[in-house]
Amino acid sequence: MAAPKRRLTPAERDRGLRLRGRLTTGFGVLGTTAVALLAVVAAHTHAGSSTSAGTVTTSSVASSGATATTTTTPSTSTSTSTGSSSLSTGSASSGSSSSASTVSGGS
Amino acid sequence: MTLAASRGSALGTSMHVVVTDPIALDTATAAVAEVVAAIDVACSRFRDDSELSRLQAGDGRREGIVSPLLALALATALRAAELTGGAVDPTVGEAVRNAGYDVDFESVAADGAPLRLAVVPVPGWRRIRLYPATRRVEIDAGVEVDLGATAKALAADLAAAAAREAIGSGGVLVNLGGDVSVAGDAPEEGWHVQIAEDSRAAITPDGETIAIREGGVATSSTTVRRWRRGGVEFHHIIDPATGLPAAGPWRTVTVVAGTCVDANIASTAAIVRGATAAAWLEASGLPARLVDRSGAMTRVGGWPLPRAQTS
Repeated sequence: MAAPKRRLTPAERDRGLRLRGRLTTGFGVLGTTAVALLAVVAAHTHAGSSTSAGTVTTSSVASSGATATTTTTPSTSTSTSTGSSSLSTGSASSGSSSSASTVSGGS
Repeated sequence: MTLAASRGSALGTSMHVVVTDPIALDTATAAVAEVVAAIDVACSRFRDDSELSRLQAGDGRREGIVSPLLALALATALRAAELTGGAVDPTVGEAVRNAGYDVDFESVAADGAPLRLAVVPVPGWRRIRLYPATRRVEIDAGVEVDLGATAKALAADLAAAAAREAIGSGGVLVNLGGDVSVAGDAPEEGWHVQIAEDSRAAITPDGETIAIREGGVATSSTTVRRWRRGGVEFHHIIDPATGLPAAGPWRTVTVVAGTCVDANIASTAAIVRGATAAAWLEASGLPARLVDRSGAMTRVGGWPLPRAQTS
């Protein structure tokens, strides 16, 4: 059973979309993907936090070397690492070695 | 269905890309390679020019604004630490280096002089602070970050998603050194993944094989990435409580989860947790296969019995 996840609020969704839109310019595909994922992570990692007033300007350099600058509203000053409260579960069935396409082992 | 696959190497290990549409293989492989290269540039502790190396260069407390990708990798590592009660901790950097794993593993000498090590807990993940909204990171003095436990699995998840996005349809499987992530439409009979102790092993007719349709599979093992110092065997999975290689009963653990990252978190934590791992995995609802030092297997959480035993 999948772990319950908190839904994004409209404000969080809109903030993430605005951030992604601004960063898209000057970023490669990977940068855009990472920003979108980070926006999701940020939304999930601030469960219960409130938004404070003010803005902050940040710059970052994507793998392409292009620099993007954005202005965004910071969340609380409290750092947190809490994401979903449990590990996501999966399922497996018996497979056939004759159909195996890859190996999972230590590395 | 005819699958197509490409093989290569990345992040100091093997890279394997499989697609359901052979025409899409080159596109998918290129997308995977791009993500993996970016993870390496952001997260490697073996590259002086990586973003992580530059961030934590120098003494004292370090801080800065990091790229979205490094922020995501740090968030992933911190989440792993929190969900495992610190069993998977990104502050093992100094401990793993002191144990002799201080360069890319291909350059680690297989044998060497004795090491003098002490039982010292690692600093602990709470000494890294990440502010996701601004991507600001603060690392306390004396803390050495190693994202190796989760960054490879994160790369697999991101790469599978990016490859699926690039090809637009069908399904993709990405395997980075045994960390497997799938995205898109699975083959009708699912993705068949053979389980081994070493991801370099060849597929064999009698090898235990499972099928998944989504999510990921990860295997952690103390039987690979081993080296010897003063006649003592070392491996790369550090127990944060002791700062030494984990010494529990399990040598290899494989987990299936909703993502490769979560599978990797659970498999690594199981090696560290030792005797309590099987019950923890069962309680977490995670299908898992544990191999003890004698080779005996324990399957929990709905892990399927091998086909020969199911009839």
